[in-house]
Amino acid sequence: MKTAPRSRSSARAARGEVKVITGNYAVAYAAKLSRVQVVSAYPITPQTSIVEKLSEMCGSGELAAEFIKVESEHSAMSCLVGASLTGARAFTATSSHGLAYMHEVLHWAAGQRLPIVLVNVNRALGPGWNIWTDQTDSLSQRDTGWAQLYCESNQEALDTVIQAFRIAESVLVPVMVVLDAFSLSHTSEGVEIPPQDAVDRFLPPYRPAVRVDTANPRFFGGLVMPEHYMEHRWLLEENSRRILDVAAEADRDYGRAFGRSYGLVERYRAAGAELLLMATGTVASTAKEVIDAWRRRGRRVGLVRPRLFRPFPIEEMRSACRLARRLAVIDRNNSFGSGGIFATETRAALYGLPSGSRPEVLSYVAGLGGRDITPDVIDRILSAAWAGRAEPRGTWVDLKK
Amino acid sequence: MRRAKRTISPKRYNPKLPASAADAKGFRGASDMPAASVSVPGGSMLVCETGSWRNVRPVFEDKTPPCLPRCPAGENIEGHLDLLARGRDAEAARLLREDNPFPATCGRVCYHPCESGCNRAEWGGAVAIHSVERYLGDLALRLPAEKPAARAGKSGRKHRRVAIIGAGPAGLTCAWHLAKRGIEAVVFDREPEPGGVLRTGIPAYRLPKDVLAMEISRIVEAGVELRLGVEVGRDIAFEDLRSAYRAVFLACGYHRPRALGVPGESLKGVEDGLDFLRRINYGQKVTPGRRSVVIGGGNTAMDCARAALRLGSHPLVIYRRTRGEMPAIPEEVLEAEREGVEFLFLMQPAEVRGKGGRVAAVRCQRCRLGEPDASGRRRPVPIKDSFQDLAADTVLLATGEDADLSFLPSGWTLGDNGAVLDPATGHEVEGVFAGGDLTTSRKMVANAVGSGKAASWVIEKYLSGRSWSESLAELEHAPTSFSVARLEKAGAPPRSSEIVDATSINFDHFPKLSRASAGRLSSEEAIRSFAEVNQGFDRATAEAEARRCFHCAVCSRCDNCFVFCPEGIVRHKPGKACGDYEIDLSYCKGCGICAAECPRGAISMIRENR
Repeated sequence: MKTAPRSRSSARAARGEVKVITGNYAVAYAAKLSRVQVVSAYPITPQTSIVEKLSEMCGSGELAAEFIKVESEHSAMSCLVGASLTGARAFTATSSHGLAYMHEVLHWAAGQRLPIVLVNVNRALGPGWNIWTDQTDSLSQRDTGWAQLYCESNQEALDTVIQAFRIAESVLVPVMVVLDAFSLSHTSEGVEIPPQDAVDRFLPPYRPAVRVDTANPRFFGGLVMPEHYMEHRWLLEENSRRILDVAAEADRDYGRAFGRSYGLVERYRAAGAELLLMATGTVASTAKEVIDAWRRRGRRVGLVRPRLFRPFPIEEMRSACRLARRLAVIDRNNSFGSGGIFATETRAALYGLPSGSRPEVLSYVAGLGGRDITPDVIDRILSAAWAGRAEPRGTWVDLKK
Repeated sequence: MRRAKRTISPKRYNPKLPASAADAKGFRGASDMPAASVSVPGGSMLVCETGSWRNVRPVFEDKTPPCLPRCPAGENIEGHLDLLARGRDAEAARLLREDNPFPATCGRVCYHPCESGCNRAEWGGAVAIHSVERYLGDLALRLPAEKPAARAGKSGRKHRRVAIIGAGPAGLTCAWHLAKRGIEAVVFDREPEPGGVLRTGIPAYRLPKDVLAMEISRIVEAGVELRLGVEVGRDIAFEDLRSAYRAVFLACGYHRPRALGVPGESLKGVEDGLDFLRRINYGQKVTPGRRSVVIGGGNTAMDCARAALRLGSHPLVIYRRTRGEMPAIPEEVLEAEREGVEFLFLMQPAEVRGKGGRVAAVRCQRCRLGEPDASGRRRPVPIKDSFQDLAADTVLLATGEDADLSFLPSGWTLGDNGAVLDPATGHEVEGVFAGGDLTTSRKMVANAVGSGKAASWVIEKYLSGRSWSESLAELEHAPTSFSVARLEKAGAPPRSSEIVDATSINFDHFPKLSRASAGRLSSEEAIRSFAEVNQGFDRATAEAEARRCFHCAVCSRCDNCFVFCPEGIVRHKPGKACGDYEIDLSYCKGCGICAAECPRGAISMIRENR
């Protein structure tokens, strides 16, 4: 996969052993390096090997964490809410229906300001029953108050999980790290495993100012009357906006410490691009190959890849896109009756730019339920966008009508 | 470098939290509010007693296990099994004897209706309560006897003396319970040895004579006086007894054989079954003929047939109904069959035919089952012209007995509850009570023990100053199956009327374990002598069997409620009441998990009335 972390060669960067592992194992190693204290999960393909690996680590004593087996994802997240209230660093992983089942408790975790980290391996929702990649599961959780970070490579998955704990614990907002089913979760590539001591320096232990303490009993998550509820929500909103700074800072610091950083919005050959492609996850990797081919032909095209979806990096997107004539957004997701979700978000984000310096946003929905998005598919999307061809509510690419 | 340092201490935006209740009042706005909903320290948590959400509350409430009301002797079965399971064998044996002075006997001859209700039935078989009773009964024989209670002074003697007619299980049980409470009990029996039908009727292969003798000597040691060889009505007048004793207990049993009412009954070789057994039990030489025909389907018939078998005869039992209607204990029928006793069902004798004054055959008539009679069993209806002659050298009649109450003033009748009615006055006869076979619905040893116990209870109340009718009314609180030990315990509530059945048992908490069975002599060996057939349980088997008991309805302090309460508010308490638990109702939300997880239905959920 073509990844382009903005590496800064730094003499201080800690280097680690490189292992050839799947994205799921990269996540498990990251959780272990983050010294998670409680893991609670329910198995679901394609996530399962994350928590299987973690359970092995717990079983062997390699990881000093409580692994709580539960009967559902709703209980898994409920366990983590309890664990996090006691001040434990808490982690889980899920997919698709599992994430949907957690939905209620996701609100609870965010509302109670618990810095839980969840890895969601994108998988299509049924029916029809489908285990392949599709972002609609994680994007459906848009309004729960969770931050969301989308990864392009196994290395980025590992790095992002470690960053996620620091972001979460800095603002007390839970963070979801998202990766593609199979193309990341079950595909092996070289991943550098950072040394534990360096991770410990980057991620100090979680010490909440208040937590469950039987010697000093408190009521957590009780009734809040209308006179205060809105202020609570405002505090969550305000702290969520701070994630933009906190995440950027964590990424920068991570770069200094480990030699890899990604930015909130990755720009690939975007400078001076007339047509920008926007994609997330592994689609961006494939797209980079196509961009290179078009550039070789002299076409000024580039790519933007937002890593952060919530909060949406509006300023970064504006600054990345403002000079392009057109922006073609590939969405491996759909909001029914509205269209591709990233396209909708991006339109809203760019709307504040003066109409003259605002690219036309074209929407393409592709690859739902794990259908391959090959270089050829992206090439056709670019051709259509170059010619300004797109349906107003988004073109469904390669739809067999 | 300064920036690099920041990597170790990232910016944090921790929520502010109120330091005290005062701080929590009057927020100006988001800037001074905690970020999450958290109560003030030491604040409202304690005053928010979530128990107020409750609609139902759990209460520890022992109910009644199904075995208990089925025991005619009123034994605290669950209690002695509990002690035995904990390895406290001697205490278990003592508890058992508190209610029944004949545990070694009942452990051998009882028909154990207790086991028929056992909730273990579907989970490896009913607990072998009967065999455990025998183990404990035998153990009790080796324990020191109960000390007689101090008696009232000489002047009050008459007022504390009770005459008991019949030294069978009912009479001796009554005497024993009275003696233990300081009341002088004098037992009269026409037989030279005590025990009634236990001594004269039940053969030694079921009840060894030394076991019975030891059990009775325990009763006598407790302060019971026996007057043997004295027949009331012949050697002493009933009215003399009444004037010499404050109360009289009639427990003389059913001894008078019922006549068969067919021709040839008086032929040589036709014998009364009970008399046949009596002679064997007294060690007389008895030699039945080659072929004995036993007529009847009760326990006496089985005893006659199996005894005859041991004396070299080939017994054939004929019964006018089918196997299902036989009043004998089913195990006895099986044992008899296993040993080689033959059976013919739906046959009734029409005539005993003789040759030279001696019996030669029984002429039988076939029957079919008709409509149910008063006993609920289907009546045998003879089929016309369906006679058959069965060869016989000996005929043993075991068709039931009647009471011989000719010593009572004429006209007196016995009520079901044990009261004796005098039609001349229309009232119960004061101070006279009847029990044992005279009144019990089933003529079994355990029923006799139960009725003796009830009699002692009524008589004691009467002797302590209540009127006779008040004393009889006590029976309502102390039905036939009651535990004297429990009734006597001050403050012990009567058993709940709610019987816990299998639907209240949480089987998930019990391993499925098979019922143990006692060893027995092989049939070939058994029929060679009158040695005891059933070998009983050893200590390990008895204790293991006791551990199979679910302790239905009774808290056994298993800690399930303590463990499963999601609120952690079922706690151990220092004292000991029903269980060792208390529930903090301030925080109990009435979820019912403790009741659901109680393996034995000892926790009830009751509605809150607020």
